[in-house]
Amino acid sequence: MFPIAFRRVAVVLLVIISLSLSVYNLFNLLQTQPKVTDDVSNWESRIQPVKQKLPAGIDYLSYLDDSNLREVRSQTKGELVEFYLTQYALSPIIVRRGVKYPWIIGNFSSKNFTGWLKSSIGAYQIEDLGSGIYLIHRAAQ
Amino acid sequence: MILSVALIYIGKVIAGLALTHLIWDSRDPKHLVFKLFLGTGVGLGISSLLYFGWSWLGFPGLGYPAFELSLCFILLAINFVKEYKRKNSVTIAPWRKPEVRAVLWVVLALLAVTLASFSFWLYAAKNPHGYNDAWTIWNLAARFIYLSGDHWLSLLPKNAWFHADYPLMLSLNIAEGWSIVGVNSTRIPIFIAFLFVISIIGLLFSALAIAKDIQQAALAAILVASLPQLPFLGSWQYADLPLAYFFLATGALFYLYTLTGETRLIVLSGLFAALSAWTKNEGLMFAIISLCVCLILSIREKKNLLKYFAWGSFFPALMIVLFKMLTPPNDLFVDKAKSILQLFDPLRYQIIFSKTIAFVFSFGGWPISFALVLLLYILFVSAKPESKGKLWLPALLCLCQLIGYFGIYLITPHQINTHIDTSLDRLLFHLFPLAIFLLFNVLPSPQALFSNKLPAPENSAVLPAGDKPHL
Repeated sequence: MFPIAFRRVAVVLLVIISLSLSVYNLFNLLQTQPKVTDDVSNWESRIQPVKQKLPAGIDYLSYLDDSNLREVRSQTKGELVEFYLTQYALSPIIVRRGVKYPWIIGNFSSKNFTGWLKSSIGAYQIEDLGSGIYLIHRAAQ
Repeated sequence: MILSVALIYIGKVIAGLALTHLIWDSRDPKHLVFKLFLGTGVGLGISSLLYFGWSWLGFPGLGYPAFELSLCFILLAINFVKEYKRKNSVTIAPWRKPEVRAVLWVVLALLAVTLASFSFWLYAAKNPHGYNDAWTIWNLAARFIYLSGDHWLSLLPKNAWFHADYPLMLSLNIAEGWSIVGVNSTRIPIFIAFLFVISIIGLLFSALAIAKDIQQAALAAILVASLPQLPFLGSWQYADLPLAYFFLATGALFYLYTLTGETRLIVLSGLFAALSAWTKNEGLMFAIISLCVCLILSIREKKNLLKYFAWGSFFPALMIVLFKMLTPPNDLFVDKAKSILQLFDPLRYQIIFSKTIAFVFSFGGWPISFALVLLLYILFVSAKPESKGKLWLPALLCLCQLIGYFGIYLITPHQINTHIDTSLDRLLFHLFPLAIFLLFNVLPSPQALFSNKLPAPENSAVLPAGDKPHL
């Protein structure tokens, strides 16, 4: 066991370290540049036109992105995040990956998906909502 | 709006305090502070259970806040009547002038809490929607509940949102707040997260003030509040912080029972253990472990404590069963054969051990290793352990839960490195406040070290006259 003086110093040091690191953390936080808007709010603004264009009473939406165009269909982290953000922005509409439902959201980085889309779902109508977001409606067959 | 948001949840905390006081009516000032912080969990926990039960019975969601408000008033009225009748029959503990040193320690703890609060609000301002799991699980569930109206329960079997099988304590509280203010504002989940940040520190402080002394309680509060991980994890708006709070409450209540012999504390520990299961699926395992711990305690004390535990846990357990009947199965148990085979893979053990050690030493978010600082502190101040209660109870809870987490990593169907990297810091945090409670009960307090004498039995107010402490 250490002498009592050592043990008292240990208590004082622990308090000093704790409080000074709290202050250090706070200063670090204050120095970092605040974002104008956060990523989730940005995505909500991007998806906003979909909400406006969708007819009322839609419970389910299909969702497509660049991963559907690749031969190996694993999503990148960014694609996964964008899918969940879309689900969050459009709730309480249930968003599912694939083309099961007639209303489809397309989130593509380029316009080279049209051939793939036609071979996958046949006839469709499409509206470009900007920022790589498309609202697709599969024609009744 | 922030004022109305605060009023909604402070109202729930007061209702929680009132219910806790009905169960355990001690008037000791330290107990009252402890009960105030227990009030957060009881208030928000019971409120979400009632909301679920209300929806399950098919009542319109719009009517629920008024029902809950009426219940709050009834609880408060019962307490007032009860206290009025007790006024002349019970002696309130006399007010003693606090020691200057104790006041100084409390001031330092308040300073640490203030710094942690500022950090929390700065983090929250940067990410008002929280972090990934907030908008893929907790807040998303809340949006579905709030925006889909009275038929939200029918969405559960459809797996409408990611991990629809996750318990709804947090999401229902958020959804109810939104339905009261009339808009799905980010201020609601932020405020709830803040409430749990403060309540974890307050609960740790007040529990240690009863079990040990105020100076030790303040030191533990300073230490926990100074970790950036606390406000940071709080600002993520995950259910991990509330879960850590419920674990701490359950463990502390078990331990305080061994100090006081008050069986009503077992009722409360049953309630908190079950509420942890209503907060996150990891809480289900904790509730079962708590039940086993209570069984062991019953056998050792030759006293049927299980009935008190059952009284506390009955209502939450009933609601959890109803909820689990509606939800899809958990994704961890989809391929049982593969999971069993993984138990015999030595590489998985090695990965889990090595990653756990690495995570423990980087835990907390300090620029220096928090674990190392704590180890050095223990090395310097440790003396012969001197606890008055049965510390093996919270220790057993921590140990069994850790073993359980280890088992989950062994059987997980997900890629093990990714699963550990994205969750282990949070799992460690679940047990961190309870581990600190345990540790600071064992270590000598500043009061003992600076007065150069053995710690005085300051918690004499806890012990009923003539009751010997359990050694």
